[in-house]
Amino acid sequence: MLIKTYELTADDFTQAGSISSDIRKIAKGYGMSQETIRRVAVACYEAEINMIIHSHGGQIELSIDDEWFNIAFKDVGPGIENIELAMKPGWSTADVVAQNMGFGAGLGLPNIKKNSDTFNLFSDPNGTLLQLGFKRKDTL
Amino acid sequence: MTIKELHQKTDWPFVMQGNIDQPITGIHTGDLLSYVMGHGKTGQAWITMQTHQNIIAIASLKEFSCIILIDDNDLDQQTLGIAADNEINVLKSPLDAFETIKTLVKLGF
Repeated sequence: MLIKTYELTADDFTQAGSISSDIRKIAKGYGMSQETIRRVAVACYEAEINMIIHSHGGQIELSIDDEWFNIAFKDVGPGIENIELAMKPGWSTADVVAQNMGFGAGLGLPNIKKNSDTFNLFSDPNGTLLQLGFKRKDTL
Repeated sequence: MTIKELHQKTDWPFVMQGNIDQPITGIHTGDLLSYVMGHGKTGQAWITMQTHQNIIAIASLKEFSCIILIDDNDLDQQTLGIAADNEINVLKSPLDAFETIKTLVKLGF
C-alpha cells in the first residue's frame, strides 16, 4: 500500500536528508528493529543525495505491506550511463560542488546495495528507477 | 563519558546543545559523507572538518551523540538552526583532527 510520495528538487542540498529523516521516523513507528531502521536511513539518505546530485528531480514513494517496507526513487533523467561502473566502489561522476561537500566518493550505490534486502536499479536517459526493499521483521 | 563530561574535561565550547547527558559510545572521524554514513555507529562522537548543513542530517540519521568540529570551525546561522531543530550536540575543538583525536585517546577513548 502506498503510504507517502515525496517530491525532490534537483541540486537542492538545503533539504538533503529531510525525506530520509521522515522515512526513518515512519520505520520507527512501524516498530522495525534498530538495525533495520539504521539500514533504511543509510540507504535512503544515499539514494536521496544521489537524486539531488545527479538527477533532474523526481519522486520518492514509500509503500508498506505486511512483510515489506519498500522505497522507490524515481527521477526524470538524465540516467546512469553505465550501471556496472556506477556500482563499482570509488567510481563517481559527481561534480566539484558535490565533492567539496564530501559527497561523490563513489560509495553511494554500493552502500545502498549493502544496506538493503532487495535492490533493483533500472536506468535510461529518460530516468532512473531505484527500488529498495527492507524486511519489516528480521526473522522473515 | 557523557558529552557534558567531555566538554568539562576539554573546555571545547558548545556550538549547539541538545541532550548533553547522553553517553559517547566511541569516536568516528571522516569527511567523506558516504564513508561516514557507511561506517559511523550510533552514539559515537563524529569528528569532521565539514561544516555545511548536511552534516546535521547525517548526525541525526546516524544518531551520533555529537559532532566535534575541528580547527575552531563554526556553523553558519542556517546550519545552526537545523542543528537546533534536530537537537544535535555540536562542540568545537581548537585543534586539528590529529591533535583532537590524540586528546580523546588521552581521555580514554
